[in-house]
Amino acid sequence: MSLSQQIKVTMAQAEEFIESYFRIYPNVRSYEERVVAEARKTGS
Amino acid sequence: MPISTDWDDLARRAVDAAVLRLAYGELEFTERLAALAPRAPEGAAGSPAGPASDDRRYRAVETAKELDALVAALKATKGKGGFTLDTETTSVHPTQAELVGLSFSWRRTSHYVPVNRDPPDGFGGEATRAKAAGTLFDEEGPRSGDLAAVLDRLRPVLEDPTLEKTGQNAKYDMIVLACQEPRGVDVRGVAFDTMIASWCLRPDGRTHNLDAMSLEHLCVTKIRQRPDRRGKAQITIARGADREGGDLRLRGRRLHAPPASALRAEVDGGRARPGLPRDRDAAPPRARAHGAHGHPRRSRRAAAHEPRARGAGEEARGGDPRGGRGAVQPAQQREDRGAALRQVEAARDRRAQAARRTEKGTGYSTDERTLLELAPYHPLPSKLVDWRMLTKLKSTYVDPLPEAVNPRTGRIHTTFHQTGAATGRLLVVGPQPPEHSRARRGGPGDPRGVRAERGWKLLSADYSQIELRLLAHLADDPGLLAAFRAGEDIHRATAAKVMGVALDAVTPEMRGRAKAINFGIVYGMGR
Repeated sequence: MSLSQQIKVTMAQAEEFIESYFRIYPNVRSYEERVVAEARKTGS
Repeated sequence: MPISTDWDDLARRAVDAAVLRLAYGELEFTERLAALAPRAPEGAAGSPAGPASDDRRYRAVETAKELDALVAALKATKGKGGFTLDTETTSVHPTQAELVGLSFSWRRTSHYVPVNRDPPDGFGGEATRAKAAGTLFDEEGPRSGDLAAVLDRLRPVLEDPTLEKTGQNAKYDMIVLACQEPRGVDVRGVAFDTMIASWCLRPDGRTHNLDAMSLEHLCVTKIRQRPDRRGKAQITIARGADREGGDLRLRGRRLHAPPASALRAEVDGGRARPGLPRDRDAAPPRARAHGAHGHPRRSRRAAAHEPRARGAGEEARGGDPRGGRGAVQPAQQREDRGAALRQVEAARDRRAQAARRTEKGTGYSTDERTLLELAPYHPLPSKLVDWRMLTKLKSTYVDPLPEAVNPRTGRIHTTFHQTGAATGRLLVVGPQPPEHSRARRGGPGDPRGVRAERGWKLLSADYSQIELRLLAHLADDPGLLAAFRAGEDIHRATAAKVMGVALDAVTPEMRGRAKAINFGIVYGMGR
């Protein structure tokens, strides 16, 4: 289930929530990107 | 037509075992891999399939003098990697197992100490007896109480926290030794566990036993041997754990110092054994209430008849507000009434449909889905669903508990498997302990079914927001870390920040949204 479905908002609003989430916890975003990049590189 | 291949090229050639082994390994054909002729590892004593060729390295310890020498040798391993420890017992349940022997291994040396004078066949009895009945400690040691005497001599080594021990599922051996009478051994200094290491490397692997590990990491097929040749098993452990360049241990170590501490924590937990009441009155009350429902088979039969009556009968209409037209108020608009009537008709159709659908050749189905569909029309189906759930709870949680009481200790011993779930959760095996304070009365985890020994208390503990704490740590995010450090409700804190309001202005709805975002982020939820 997507965030918009779960908290019953539009996808745009959900997008906005996530954006502001990442603004207040910026390192979470960079951590997520790092993990994804690493997975792409190493395959695990 | 020119053919460059000649007959000889097509002749069947010998299998290239090295290449095949690689291929099998990559494709995870473990059975085939095991079937391949094992490669004798370089420098190993003898072929793995044969008996130990160097008797000096694998020996039984049968006199007090030998035991003292062993203890001294074990002490000497301190700071040099320590030794591996294994117990040979009569049961897979550590609290019910009788100790038959202990084995120790370091470098390439292995010793087996038989401690049970008359162990059952298949557990080293043949070998011990063959040596001459009762030679254990004959020369210089006591003839009786051998086990206690042996343990007392080993105790300083085993209980020394600075002397490193390696084990394969060492928790088992620790519990076995702790349960020994008259005085258990409190094994300390377990620094490494090959099973947990293997699981850390491959949490999704099916097995983490020595056979699988030695095959995977050492290309050695472990002998399935009897305890009287225990030395051989120890070689495998020793190779896995101590051999220089020993893949497993090095890789495992690099990956995991934490499991060792987790192990200690867990064993400590395992020692807090819930007591069990001796009187039946303390059994969860649902168990007794359940009796009022009558004999399961009878009730089930009755239940099976009921939906049949419901499907065919008219008598249910009165009990169902949607079944009578009186439910529709005359003051309503005509359209409304029409709609209501249609609704009523539809409800009837659904009921009829539900009833029809239950028919399966021989009779009416009473599976849960059908019963839930029938539930709106009569109280019985949902009662039946409840009853089944309670029966299940009773047979799963209530009935097994008294049987799980260890006669020796009068307690219930639950096992937490550290390597049971790929997600890293502990898997509870055996009787379920009372789980948490929120357990419903009479349901699983109802703490009234067990009680602590006098002077002890049952403790329930759980991680709080473990995923988000991990995220805070891994991402090293100052905001998240600060919220946790301040002991804030993380969802509330997130809501306040994301929605730009004060902490105490956060409504439950806002908190709910923040919670969804928090977990959504951790689990990679889409927009």
